[in-house]
Amino acid sequence: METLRDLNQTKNIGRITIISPTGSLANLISFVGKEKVTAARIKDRENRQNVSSCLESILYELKQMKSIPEAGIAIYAQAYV
Amino acid sequence: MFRPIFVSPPRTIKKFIYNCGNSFVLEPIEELHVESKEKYGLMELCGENCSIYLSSEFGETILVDQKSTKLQRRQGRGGSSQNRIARLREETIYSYLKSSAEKAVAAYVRDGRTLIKGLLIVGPSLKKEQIIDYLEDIKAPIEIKAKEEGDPSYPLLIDFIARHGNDEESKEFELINDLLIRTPDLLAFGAELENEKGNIKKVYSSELIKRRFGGPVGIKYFAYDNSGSAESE
Repeated sequence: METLRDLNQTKNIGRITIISPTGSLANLISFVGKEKVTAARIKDRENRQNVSSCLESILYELKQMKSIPEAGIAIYAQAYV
Repeated sequence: MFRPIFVSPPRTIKKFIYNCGNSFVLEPIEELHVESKEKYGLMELCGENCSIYLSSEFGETILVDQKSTKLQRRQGRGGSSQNRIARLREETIYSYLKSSAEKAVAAYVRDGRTLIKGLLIVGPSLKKEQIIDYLEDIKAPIEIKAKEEGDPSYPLLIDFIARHGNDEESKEFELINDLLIRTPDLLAFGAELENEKGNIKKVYSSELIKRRFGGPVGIKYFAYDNSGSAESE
C-alpha cells in the first residue's frame, strides 16, 4: 500500500484500479476484455496507449490465476513509473 | 512495462469498483487494511530466523519482513582454530541481530515516529533478550515472551494487545481471565449461553473476547436466596 500511495503522488494518466469481490474469474477476465475494446476508442493517443497496455497486462496476469481469493482482489496498474 | 500490483485484502470486499483515471483508488482497501487501525508489532526470533509482523488491535497479522542466517555449529571444536571459529560465530550472531533490528526499525518507525503501540518479541532463543539493545529507536513498550519453536504466537499476541489496547476491552478481558482462574463455573462460553439463558447476568462480547474465547462470554449468577444476595452454584 505504501508503494501505491507513493505512486499516487507522481503525475501519470491512465491508472487502472479494479477492486473485485470474490466470484467467477471468467467474468472478471471478460469484463477486462470488454474494457480493452472500449479503451481502443479513447481519442488521446498517449492515454489510449497507456490504458490499453495496462489492461493487456492485467488480462495476462489474470489468465495465470486459478481463482479469485476468498476475500476478493484489488488490482492496480499503470503504464510506466 | 509496469507489472500490475495485486493486493489481497485482509477482509472481504463487498463492492466492485472499476476506475480509470489520474490516480489509484486506495480508500476502500485502506479501510479494510489493518494499517488504518492501531498497530502492534510482533517479532518471532528463532536461532537462525527472524520474522517481523505487523498486527491490528484484533490480532490480524501481516508478514512485513524476514531475515535468516546460517550459524557455525562447531564452535567448541577445531583445535587451534577453536577461537577463530568461536569468533566467527559471534560475529555472525552480531550481524544477524543487528540487521534483524534494523529491519524491525524500518518496519515500525517512519520519519522518527513510532507507528506501533507495542512490540512483542517471542521465540525460543536467548537472542531475543540481546536484540533489545538494538531497538532503541522504537519508542513503545517492548515485551519478551518465551515460546517453543512451532507453537502459535497468536494467543501471546492477543494477551499482549489486551494489556496495551483499548482500556474498557482490556478491563473486561482481565475480569474474564480472573474469573476463569478463580471460579470457572461462573462463566458460560458461546453456545452454552443459550442453555443458561435464564441464569446469565451479563454477557461480554467485545471483539477481543470473541477472538480470544471464540465467542461471547457470559457471567452466571444463580438462584437468589431469601436474603436477596446472589450466590454462585
